[in-house]
Amino acid sequence: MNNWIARFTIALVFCYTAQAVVAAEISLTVTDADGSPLPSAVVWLPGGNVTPRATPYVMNQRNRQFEPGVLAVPTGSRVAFPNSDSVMHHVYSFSPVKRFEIKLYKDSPGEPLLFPTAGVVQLGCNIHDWMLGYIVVVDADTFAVTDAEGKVSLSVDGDSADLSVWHARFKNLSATEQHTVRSGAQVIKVAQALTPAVDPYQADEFDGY
Amino acid sequence: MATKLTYRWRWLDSCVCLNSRRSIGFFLLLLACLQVQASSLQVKGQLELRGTLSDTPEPWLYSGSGLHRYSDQHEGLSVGSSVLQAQYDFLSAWSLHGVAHINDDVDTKLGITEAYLKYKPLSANGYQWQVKTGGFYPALSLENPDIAWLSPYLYSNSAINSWVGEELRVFGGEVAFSRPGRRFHSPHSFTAVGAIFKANDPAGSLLAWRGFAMHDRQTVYNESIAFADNPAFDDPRLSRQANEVLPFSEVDGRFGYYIGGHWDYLKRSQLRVYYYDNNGDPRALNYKTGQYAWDTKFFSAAWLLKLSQRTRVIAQFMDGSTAMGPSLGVNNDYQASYVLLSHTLGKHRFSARYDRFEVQDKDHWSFDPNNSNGDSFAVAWRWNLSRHWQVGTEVMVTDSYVENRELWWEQANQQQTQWQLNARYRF
Repeated sequence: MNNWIARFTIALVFCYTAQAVVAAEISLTVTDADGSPLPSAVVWLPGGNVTPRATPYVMNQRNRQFEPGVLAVPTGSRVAFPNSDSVMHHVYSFSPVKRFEIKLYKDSPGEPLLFPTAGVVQLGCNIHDWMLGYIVVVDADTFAVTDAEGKVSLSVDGDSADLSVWHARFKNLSATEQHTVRSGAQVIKVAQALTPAVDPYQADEFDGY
Repeated sequence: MATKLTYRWRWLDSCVCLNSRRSIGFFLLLLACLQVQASSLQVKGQLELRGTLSDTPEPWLYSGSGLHRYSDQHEGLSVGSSVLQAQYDFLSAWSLHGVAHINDDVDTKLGITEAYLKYKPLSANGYQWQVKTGGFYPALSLENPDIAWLSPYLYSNSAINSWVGEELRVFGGEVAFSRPGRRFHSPHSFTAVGAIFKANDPAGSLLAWRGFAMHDRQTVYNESIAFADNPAFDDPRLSRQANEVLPFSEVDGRFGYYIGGHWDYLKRSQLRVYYYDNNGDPRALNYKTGQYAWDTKFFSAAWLLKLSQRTRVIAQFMDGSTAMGPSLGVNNDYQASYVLLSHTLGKHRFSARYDRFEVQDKDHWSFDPNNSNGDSFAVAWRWNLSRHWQVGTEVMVTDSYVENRELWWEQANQQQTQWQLNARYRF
């Protein structure tokens, strides 16, 4: 009996240790070359078992802005474009990854669109020319978007992993850059040239005129 | 008298001016029909009930020399600014726009204030352009961004935009080319605008024979605005002038133009600069309608600054001239400006505005004095009770000197006070 208990305990310890090796938590802060945090940077671990979720992702239009400004989705995902404003929007993309246009009327549900190919989709509105949004389609099952402080947490297999990073201020919007990350907390400095940071546009209901 | 020719734009005659109660019936019927609407048809509008309390003199609309829309003889309940705005989208880049107003001053009528076709293609390179053709306002005002060219701030427009609403409308084509800043990672956005147009030849008449006024009454197409019984019109030199103005009519057969520039900084600061010239031939007269072509031009600069998300300042300045008659017997310069402050607090909006305006008589016709000037102060409060309902009030005090009041043995100087209480349902 004692033998069984000992074996079971050893098995438990082994499983726990193995789990710790399999899924390590890494905390990243993405910054520019000067160390200033980059909010809304997309980070992902290429590969993995990419399985898009059944329910569509949502790129809302609220207060004459895209919400969120940057949306990351795995390949094969569907994205809905609801219009939460009382005015019409005319959303479009000329990005090679996904070209489309949809007129979204007041209270329109917005039909979900399929995004089968990895890459960056830049969104605009033909009526409100200050509206700008991005859908970043990634070939990965682990991905996230940095918060207002440029921080994000990911689970990685093993001690280190190859990480891809993208940001809307990249001069070459279709380029991504690769970094190797290790478990624990670390700072990722992007190497690419960035466009100047622009303060938020302060548009309201009377600015469409 | 060189060019005499002419004709009025009759294209909307059959549909735009429906008088009396029929117009309200038509308006409601139209609304009912539009409840069954295709998704590509967007309809917005409002019905307003307005109570007013005012004083002398009588408004110009009732042959008086007052500068407010209402008076002690014409106050009480009215439909205020009741409007309907429709937009029909088709294909990718095309849309049809129409705006109708009900005015119940003098007589009740439903009329069209704007009707145009817009082409705005998608752009892959970030630059945007659009073309408008039909009848519309030049977008020179930052005071009137609400539906149907209404103001979300005060109920009565500034002196500048009261005049724009009653005498300025073009029938032609406009091209606008934009560089939206955000597409180019810049806080600055720029738009260049150019237009050529017909009609709008008599614009300036009201400034000469009434001066600037303070109101929210927008003239509808093919509408005539009456002048007071001006004794100057009895003089042989003005005897061919009708006692009314058809501001959007064509008289001289010539094209007018305007150019404009918009500069936005993060939408927090917005500047619009326009130069307008209707290129009117002052010698041209339509004998049938009694309308001269006026050579009317002006420069306008409007600026909006958001001090915060809740507080904004809007200012506008206009400087122009107008002249009519073979010998430029009526020849005036005019200037007007205002500063408007608006602040929102929850569902409440508080606004205040100070206006100054002046018309200077430069001609040698002493029997027809056109000098006028004045200033006006107005405050308003609007309360959004729900998505559909809003109530609000405004009080406005205007001091004015209008020289030709003396032709009626009135005091040239007048002070007017006007109170408004409004309830509106928006859909």
